[in-house]
Amino acid sequence: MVNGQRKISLGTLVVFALVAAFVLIVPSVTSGYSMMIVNLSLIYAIATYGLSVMLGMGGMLSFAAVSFMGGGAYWVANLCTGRLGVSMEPWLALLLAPVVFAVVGFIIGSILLKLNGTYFTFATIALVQVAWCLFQNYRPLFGGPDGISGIATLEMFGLKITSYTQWFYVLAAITLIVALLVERIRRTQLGRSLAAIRDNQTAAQILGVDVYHTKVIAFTIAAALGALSGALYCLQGRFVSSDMFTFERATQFIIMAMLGGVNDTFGIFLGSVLITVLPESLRVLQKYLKIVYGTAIILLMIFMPMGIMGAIKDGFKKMRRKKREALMNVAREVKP
Amino acid sequence: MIKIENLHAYYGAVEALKGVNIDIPSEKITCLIGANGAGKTTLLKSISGMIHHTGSIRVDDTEISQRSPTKIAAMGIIHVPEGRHIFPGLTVRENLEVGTIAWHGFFGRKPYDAELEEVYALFPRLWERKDQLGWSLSGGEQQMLAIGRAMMARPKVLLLDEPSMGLAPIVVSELFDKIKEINQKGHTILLVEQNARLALKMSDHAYVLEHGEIAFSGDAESVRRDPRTVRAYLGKFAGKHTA
Amino acid sequence: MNFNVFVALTVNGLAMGVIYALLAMGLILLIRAVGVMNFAQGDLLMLGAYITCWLTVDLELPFWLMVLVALLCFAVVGLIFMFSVYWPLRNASYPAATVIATMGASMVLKELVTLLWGSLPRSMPSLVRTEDGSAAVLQIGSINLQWQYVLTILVGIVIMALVFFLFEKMYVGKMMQAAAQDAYAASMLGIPTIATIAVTYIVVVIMVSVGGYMIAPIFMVSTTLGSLQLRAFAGVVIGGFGNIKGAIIGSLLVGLIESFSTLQFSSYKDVTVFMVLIIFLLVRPQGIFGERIADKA
Repeated sequence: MVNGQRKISLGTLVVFALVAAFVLIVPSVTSGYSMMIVNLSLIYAIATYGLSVMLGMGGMLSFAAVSFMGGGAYWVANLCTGRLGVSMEPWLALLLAPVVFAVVGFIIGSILLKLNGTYFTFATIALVQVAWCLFQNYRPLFGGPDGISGIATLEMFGLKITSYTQWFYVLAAITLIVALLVERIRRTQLGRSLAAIRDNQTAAQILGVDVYHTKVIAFTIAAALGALSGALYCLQGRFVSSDMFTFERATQFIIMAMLGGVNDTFGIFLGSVLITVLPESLRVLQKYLKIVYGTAIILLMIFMPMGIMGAIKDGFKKMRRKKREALMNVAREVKP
Repeated sequence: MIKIENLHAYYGAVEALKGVNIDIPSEKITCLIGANGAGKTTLLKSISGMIHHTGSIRVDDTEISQRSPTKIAAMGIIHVPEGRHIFPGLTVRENLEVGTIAWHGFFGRKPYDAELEEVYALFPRLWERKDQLGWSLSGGEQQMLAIGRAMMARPKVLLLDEPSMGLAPIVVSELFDKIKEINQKGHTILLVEQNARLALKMSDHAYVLEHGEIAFSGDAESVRRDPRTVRAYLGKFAGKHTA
Repeated sequence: MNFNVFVALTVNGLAMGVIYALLAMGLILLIRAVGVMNFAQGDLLMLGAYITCWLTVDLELPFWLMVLVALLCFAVVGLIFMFSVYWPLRNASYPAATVIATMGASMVLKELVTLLWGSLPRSMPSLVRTEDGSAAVLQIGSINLQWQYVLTILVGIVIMALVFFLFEKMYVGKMMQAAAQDAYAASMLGIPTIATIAVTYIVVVIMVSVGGYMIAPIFMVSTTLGSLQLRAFAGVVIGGFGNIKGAIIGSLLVGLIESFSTLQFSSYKDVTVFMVLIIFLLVRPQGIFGERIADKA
């Protein structure tokens, strides 16, 4: 930390402190249903991280995350109930889900990303609709409107993960790994290329960025994370049905990403937790909840389009600028 | 005809015009030259009401400085923006029609055939292309269309912002002939140009704008001969090497 | 497939297609005027259905009065929508911000109607009814057609024709088109851009609200009406993005495809429509009538 090595900024320390506090405090004050809600927010966060790679880093609005979530969920559902005559250990299915759907995502992404901007967004909307319709109707694979239940319990390192609290620790660990992974990506060549594409695609191309392949890689990562999220969802809830993977859900993920700060790793976590947990704790206002929610989003876009973290970072920038200006003014006065 | 006093204009915290005084006599061509960023477009935008400014702008003794663009256009002060800005999805004829809004009113059927005739006579090329969509015209034709559209508004004063920009010299020459023709019909013209040589050749009066202030002014011929003109056009340091 | 079924499916498809076309035309007008994709378009249709239901069923207004009050309400909705969702964001730096704001608006609209009129679907009587109040049927030869479908097609066509006439033929319409194509130049000529945008919003809201009114007796008035906009999106893309003619034809096609696909698999009609959309996007992304001028034409 001292010998010219990378310094850890105050901001990072605060974030780590908050996360640590979260992991330590939450299990002692919640359990049961509330715990499940918290777990859900972590599961959503994983999918939203995938979304943030597309939208935050790459500037591409994609609704596809939900469908890959469905993919991962039904993958686990089918393999861990023996429906298709094949049975697999849940932990293996869980590990394979992101791998399998990375491949699927690569193929689909390669096709869809030949389209630009709004066309691409529409294609992802179409994908979500097609996938949802299949999820809802094709019984052999997806159990139809009733969904699939009776999924086996996840067993890790010999320990059966049964209670929501146990799930919390598992999910917290996985979410943390995903978050660190995404943050790492942001600082690599891939992250920088995506940022270049987001800010000015033509310029990026001229500078030598392989726009198409970079986008496909981003899509693949988002697909893998979506599938992971779905697999975890299925294992935690031991039930899956098509209501989960709708266009509205996709919209919810986008809002989660924007609320916390689409381009901020901690922001994604913050957004997911707020959007999932708040409505539950504000049960009293249930009737007016969605109106408040919707209005808040409009206000958010007007006043804080970079989300909560964006606003905080802006605030710090302004403070630093004011400090600088104050110092300069002092210097000016001191000069003879 | 137009008297501007102590005009200040800001882009955020940056002061683009620092107290400008200009007189634009009626029925003459006055040109405003200066380097990029000197504030020429800002000045035109102030007159047409498109940006916030302080100071006094009087047209025939009527203060227009805080009026909205709609009202200023209705008074016959028409700004032809740099970059032409013709309506790409409308035909040539429709572009011209839209120009009449300054005096026509939303509903009602006042005729504007006389104005159309005049514009087509001035720019025969526009008559040839009257049913073509705006985006398909060449740069020179678009500039003619932009000016023609302004003519439809029955202007007393035309504010022309860099009409020569991006056009081939032969087209520019033809265009400037037309501008002179328009002036001879009695329309006052304020011409903003980066092409100082051409602007000064056809103008009656000239102002040189430098960093948001009027450096000097006078009748066009004497400004053209003035050594300071070279300096103002190319920036402060250009003269140093030749001096 | 016998002839009766063919005609019934065609009428059904065209009726739905007309509704999608109203949504789609409104989408394009808004994109042209303000450059924003409106994800609350379907919810505006839904609101229109709820408002007319309230006026007809709850307040039991006579038809002519209902129409007047409804139009007034739609105008107000249009203005409120514009000033709350578009206006504050017109200079937004983050391009997705305006789109996401419309998503927020979508949520607000859905919850608003639930608050005001409950969450149970409401039924609305058909325009042409038999003596016992149920939907009347038009008989042509041996073909039975639901009157409501036929009326939807007629009303829809009339509205689209009127709006088309307004924008393409009338002086005011050309002003509005100019303001949509280049707001800067339009202001300089003296076109009041706030007014033209407000009028555009009002026209769009009226269009889709009337669509909601026509479709309400068929679908029942509920929050799911909002999802009709997804088909309209498909119609816009298939027809050619930015082109009104294309959007209308694309939407009619979507309606027909949807209708005829119920022959084979009734629950998979979504898949059919959106697969067609994906194929179009891949093979001919500019749609059937792709235009050179994109979006803000």
